[in-house]
Amino acid sequence: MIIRSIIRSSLRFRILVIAIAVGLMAVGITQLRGAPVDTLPEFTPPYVEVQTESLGLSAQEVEQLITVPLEADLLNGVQGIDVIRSKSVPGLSDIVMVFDNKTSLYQARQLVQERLIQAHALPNVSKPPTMINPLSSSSRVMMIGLDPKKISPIEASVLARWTIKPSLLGVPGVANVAIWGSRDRQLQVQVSPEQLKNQGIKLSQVIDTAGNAQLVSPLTFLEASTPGTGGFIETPNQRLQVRHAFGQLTTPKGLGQVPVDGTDGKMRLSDVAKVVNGHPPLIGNAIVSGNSKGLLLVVEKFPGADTAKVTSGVQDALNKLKPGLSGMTIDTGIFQPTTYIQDAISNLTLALIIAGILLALALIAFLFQWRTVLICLIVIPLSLVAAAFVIYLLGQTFNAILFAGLAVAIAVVIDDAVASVHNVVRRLREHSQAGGERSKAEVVLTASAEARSPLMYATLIALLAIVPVAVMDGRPGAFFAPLALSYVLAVVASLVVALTVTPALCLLLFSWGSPRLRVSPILRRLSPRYEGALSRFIRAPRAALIVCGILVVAGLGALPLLHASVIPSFKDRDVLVHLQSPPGTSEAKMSGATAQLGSQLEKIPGVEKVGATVGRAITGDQIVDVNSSELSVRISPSANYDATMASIKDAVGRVQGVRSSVGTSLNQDIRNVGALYTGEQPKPGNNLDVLTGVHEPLVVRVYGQNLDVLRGEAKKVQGVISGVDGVVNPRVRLEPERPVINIETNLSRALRYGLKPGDVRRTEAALVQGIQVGSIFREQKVFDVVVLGKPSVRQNEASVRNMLIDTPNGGHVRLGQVANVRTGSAPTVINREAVSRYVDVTANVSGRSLGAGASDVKARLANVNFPLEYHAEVRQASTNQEINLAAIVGSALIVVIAIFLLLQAALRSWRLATLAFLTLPVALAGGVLAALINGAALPLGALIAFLAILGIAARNAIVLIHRCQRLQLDAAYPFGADLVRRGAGERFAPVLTSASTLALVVLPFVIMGNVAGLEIVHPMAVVILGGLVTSTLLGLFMLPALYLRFGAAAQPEVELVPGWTGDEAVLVGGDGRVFDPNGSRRSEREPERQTAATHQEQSARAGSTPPADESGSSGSAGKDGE
Amino acid sequence: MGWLSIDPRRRLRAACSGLALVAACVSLSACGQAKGVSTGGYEADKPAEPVSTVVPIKGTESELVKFSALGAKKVGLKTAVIRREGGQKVMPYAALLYDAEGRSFTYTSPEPLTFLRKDVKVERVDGDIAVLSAGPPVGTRVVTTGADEVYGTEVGVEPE
Repeated sequence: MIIRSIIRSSLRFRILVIAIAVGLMAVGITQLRGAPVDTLPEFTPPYVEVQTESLGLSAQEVEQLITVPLEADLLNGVQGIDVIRSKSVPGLSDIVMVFDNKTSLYQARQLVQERLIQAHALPNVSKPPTMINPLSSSSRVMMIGLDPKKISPIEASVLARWTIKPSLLGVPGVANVAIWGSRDRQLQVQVSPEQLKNQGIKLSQVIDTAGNAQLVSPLTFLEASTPGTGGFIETPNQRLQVRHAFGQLTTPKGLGQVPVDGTDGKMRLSDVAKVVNGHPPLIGNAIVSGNSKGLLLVVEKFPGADTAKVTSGVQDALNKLKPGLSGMTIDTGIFQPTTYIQDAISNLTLALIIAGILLALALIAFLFQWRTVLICLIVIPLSLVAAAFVIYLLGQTFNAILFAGLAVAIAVVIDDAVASVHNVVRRLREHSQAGGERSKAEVVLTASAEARSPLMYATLIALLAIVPVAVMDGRPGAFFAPLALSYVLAVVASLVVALTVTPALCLLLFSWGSPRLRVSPILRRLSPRYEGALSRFIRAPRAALIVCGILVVAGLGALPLLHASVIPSFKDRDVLVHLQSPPGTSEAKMSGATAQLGSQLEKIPGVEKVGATVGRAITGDQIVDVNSSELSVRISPSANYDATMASIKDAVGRVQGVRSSVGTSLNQDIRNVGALYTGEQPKPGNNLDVLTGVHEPLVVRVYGQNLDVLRGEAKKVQGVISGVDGVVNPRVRLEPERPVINIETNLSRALRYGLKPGDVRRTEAALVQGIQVGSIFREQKVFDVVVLGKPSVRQNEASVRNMLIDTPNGGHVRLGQVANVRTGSAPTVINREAVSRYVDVTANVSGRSLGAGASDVKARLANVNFPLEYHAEVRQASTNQEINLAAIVGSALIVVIAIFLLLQAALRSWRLATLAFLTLPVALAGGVLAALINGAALPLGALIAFLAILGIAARNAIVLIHRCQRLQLDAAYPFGADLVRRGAGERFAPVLTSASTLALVVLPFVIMGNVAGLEIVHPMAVVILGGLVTSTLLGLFMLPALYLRFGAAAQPEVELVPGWTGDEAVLVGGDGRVFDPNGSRRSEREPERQTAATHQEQSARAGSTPPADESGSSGSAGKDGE
Repeated sequence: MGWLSIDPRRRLRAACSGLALVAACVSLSACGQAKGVSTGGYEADKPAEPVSTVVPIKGTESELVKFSALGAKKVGLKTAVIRREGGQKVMPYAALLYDAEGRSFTYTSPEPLTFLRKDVKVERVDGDIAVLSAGPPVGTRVVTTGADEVYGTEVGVEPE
C-alpha cells in the first residue's frame, strides 16, 4: 500500500518530481565540483599534542624538569582522556593526549588549554609549552625546498621564519609550517676561559656587559630585565613621545665596542671575546639539491581541509613572495600529495567517461528504445549524485574509501533502474497489443509496483550486508566508516529514485507521441535460444546441482590461496625512506650520509627528485634526535612504478650500519595513526595491525620510577611469564642507550674552592650551550644575543674537563678538579604512559587463545612482589579487541539469519528460502575465482565487491521465484516445467540487460588496470565481473532447474492481508470478475488476456502447449489486482 | 553414480549442509583477518650479495666486521695510522667513537676491509688530533671516515 501510494503520488505530481530531480542534479553537480577531495578519510581519533622545546637539555633532564611537572600536575585528569603518553628526547618534551571518540576535538583543546595557562611554574630552561595545531590524518600537504644560492643559510633562515612562514600560515587550511634546517640568526659573544683568565676578566663580567647593553634581557639578575619605557614629554601644546634607537648594537662590530663592566672602560667586548653572527646548534637539518645548507619547509593542514585548495593557495602565496626572495631557489616539487589526487581524478574521470559511453551503448543495444535509454541515463547518475550530495552536506571529504562504497552500489543502482523500466515497457507493450483501455498512468503504476515489490526485500538484503562493516570499532572502524555511509546512501537513493522519479519519467515520456515498444533485436534473437537451452537444462537438475557443487567447492578451495589485505596500497609517487643511525650519531655525520644516499637515489632512472629532513624541527611532527632522517623520493609520472620502487629498495638496502625502511607516504600516514596510542611506529604492511599499531599481542607493562630498578623488575617478570603455558618468546623491550658525558660535582672538592654544584652547572651551560643574555629588535624581527664558549672550548670531552671556572675569591679552577667528568650511558628517549615511566615485556601467545594466556599471566603476576611504587599491568594489545571482532562476527551471523528470514518473507516459503539462500554462495564463488585469476589476492576492493555480487544474486533469486509464484497465482499455472520456462523466460531480458550493462560499465576499470586512483576499484571490477558470470548463470539456468526440482512442495500461500509491498489479495468471482476483499467490484479480469498475449508474443517456440488451466478458479487463489 | 543412488532427501540435506558450511566460511573469511602481503610499505630488503658481515671471534667477546668493496665504496671508507708525535700516540679525532656505555674505542683494520674494535683512552684532543694515553700500538690502521657505519653494522640499530 505504501509503495503504491508513493508511486501514485509521484505519477500525479510527475512534473514536480522531475523538476526536483533535475534541480537536484544541477545543484549537486555544481556543488560537488567544489567539494574537498583527499585520498584518505579523516580517521584520527581526537588528540592533543603539547610540545616544549628546551634546546640543549638531555632526555633525562627534559623528563625531570619539563615532562613530569606538565604531565603530573597539569595535564593528568583532563576530562575525557583515554591515553596520556609522553616522549622525552634531547631538547624536546612531547606529550600526547588521546581522547575518546565521542569528544569533540575543539572541546578537548579547550580543556587542555585551560590547564596549560598555569604552566608558568616550569623552570626557566625551556620555551613555553606549545599546543600543536590540530592536524589532518594525511597532514603533510607540501614540502618546499629553499636552496640559498646568493645568500647565506642564516639569511635564508631569517627570511623563512619571518617572511615566508607567516605568509604561508595565512593561507586558509594551513595548520602549521615547520622549518627544517633553520639557522636562526644569533649575535654570539664567544669567549675562551683561558683568554679571560689571562686578561683577568670573569665570565660573569662578560655576561653582565653583553646583557645590560641590550634593550631587553631575560636574565632576571641583570638590570636589563626591566627595560622601562621611554615615557613622554608634554609641552603646553604638544605631547612628544621619547623613543630609544639601538641600531648600532645589532651588529657584531657595534656590540664589540661596548666597554666591559669593571674595567673602567679600558677593555671592550671585542678585546675579550669574539663577537660574530652565528646560529644555535642544529636540532635537525634539511638536504635540498644534494647539499645540507638549505631549508625544507613542511606545510601541514587542518582536518577536513581540501588538499588541492591548500596546495594552490600555498603556491599563490609563494609566487607573490618570489620577487623579494631572489637570493634563493624555491622548489615546491619535492613532495606534493595533491599530484597523486590529480592523477587519481584524471584516471577515474577517464574510466567514468568510457564507462558512461559503454553504459549508453549497452542500454541502446538491449532496451532499443530512446525513451527507456534516456530514462536510465538520467536515473542512474541521479541516484549517485543524490548520494554524493548528501555526503557533501554532511561535511565529509571525498576520499578513496567513500568512492569505493559508491562504486559498489552501482550494481544495485543499475539493476533498480533497468528492472523498473523494463517492466513498465513490457506491461505497456502487452497492454497496447491486447488493446486495453486503461490509462497509461495505471499501467505504469501497476508495472512499477509489480517490479518494486520483490525488490524491496532485495534492497533490504543489500543494506543488511554492510552492517558488519558499520559495526567495526576503533581506528579501523573510523577508516572504513565512509564506505558504509556512501554505500547505504547510494542504495537508499536508488530506492527512492525508483519509487518516484522513474515512474514519473516513464509516464511523462511514454505519454508523448506513439512509442514503438519493440523488443531489441539482440534479445529477440537470443530469447528463443535461451528458452531452448533452458528446456534442456531443467530436465536435468542433477547437472545443476553438480555444477553448483563444483563451483562452491572450487570457491572454497581457492579461498585459502588468497591473501586478504584490507588496507589499500596506493600507487603513491611520493616514497618515504627512513634511516636511523646508532643513537648518538652527530648531525653532520647523519646529514652527510643522508645527502649521499639522496644523490644515489637521484641517479636512479625514474626518480625525479629527492629531498630529506634530518632530525627534527620546531613544531615538527618528527619526535626524534639527529640520528634519524627521512628522505622524500619523488617518482616521475612516466616511470615504471614497480621497477623504480624495486631500485629504490635496493639502493636503500645497501646502506651500511643503519636501520632503514621504505614505504609510500600514504602508507606512512596510516601508520602514524597506528602509532598514536603508543608512540611506536607499527611495522609496515597492509593488514589491520598497521591501523592499530599492534606488535606483539601480550604486553606486560611494568611501571616505576628508577630505570635500573625497572629493568630488574622487567627481567623478573620475563622469567615469571616464560613459564606460563603458551607464552612464546618473552622479551624485555628496552630503549636503546647512547653515550653521554656525565658531570657530577664533588661537593667536598668544590667546597675547597668555594664553589657550589649550581655554579659548575651554570658555567658549563654558558660555555658549551650558551646563555641568552638579551634580544635585539631589527627590521621587525627579533634575534637573540648569546654568550657562549669558542668552538675549541666545546670540542671534545677533555676540553670539558679542562674548562676553567671562576671561583668566588678571584681564582680559577678546572672543572675536572671539582667534578667527576665521565662518559656513561643514558636512554635515548624516555617514554612515559599514564604519568609513569615504564618498561614493556612483550610475548606472543600460541597454542591457546590470547585471553586464556593473559589471564594465566595475570594470575602468576599476582603472586610477584614489587617494590614500593612499582607495579605491573597485563595488556592484551589486540587488533581484534580494538575493532570489536566479537561484535562484527555476531552481527555477521545475525545478518546471515536476517537475510534468510527476509528471503522467507519475500518468497513466503521456508523451502524456497532455503533454496535461494543456499545458492547465494555459488554466485560468490565466481567472484572468488576471478580474484584468484587476478593475482591470488583479496585487496579491499575485492572484499567489498562481494557485497555487489550478493545483492545481484539475491535479486535474481527473489525476482525469479516471485515471478513464478505470481504466475501460479494469477494465471493459475500449475507447477511444472512450463511454469518455470515461462517465468525464467520473462526474466531473461531484464537479467541479461542488467548484467550486460553492469559488465560493460565495470569493463573500463578492469582494462585500465591497477593505476593511481583505481587501486580499490580495479580489483572490485574484476571480482564483480567474475561474480556476474556465475550469478547470471545461476539466475538463468541453475536456479530455474533447482526450483523445478525442489519447489514443487512449496506452494505459495494466499496472502489475505494486503501486503505492504503493493500486492493486494483479490477474490475472483465465477464469471471472472475480480473483487476486493470487501466485496466491491473491480475491473475486468485482465490477467488472463494479458498473460495470454505475453505468452504468445514472447517466444517463437515450437509447439509448446498453451497453459492448461486458464479458466478461473473461483474463490481460490488470490490474484494480483491490476 | 554413487551420489544419485542416495535417497533424494538425503542428497538435498547433504547438499544443504555443505552449502551452509560454505556460506559460513565465506562470511568469516571475508572478515579481514590478515594474512597480509605487504605491498604498501616495506622494511628494506637485504640485497642479494651481503654487503657486510659480522663474524664473532671464537673464545673472545669481540667480533670482526667485514665489508665488501662495494660497501666500503658506498660509505666512502677511509683509514689512517696511529702515529707517534712528541712522544705520544696520536690518531685522528675522527677515528674516536664512544659506545653505548660511554667507553671510548676505535676500529682497527688488521686486514683490508676487516675491522676490529679496540679500546682507547684519550688524554686530550688538540683540534683534529686525539692524543691517546692508552690504545693499540703505533702503526695500527684505524678507520676515520665511515667509523659510525661500521659501528652501526656491528651492533645493529634498534627501533626507537
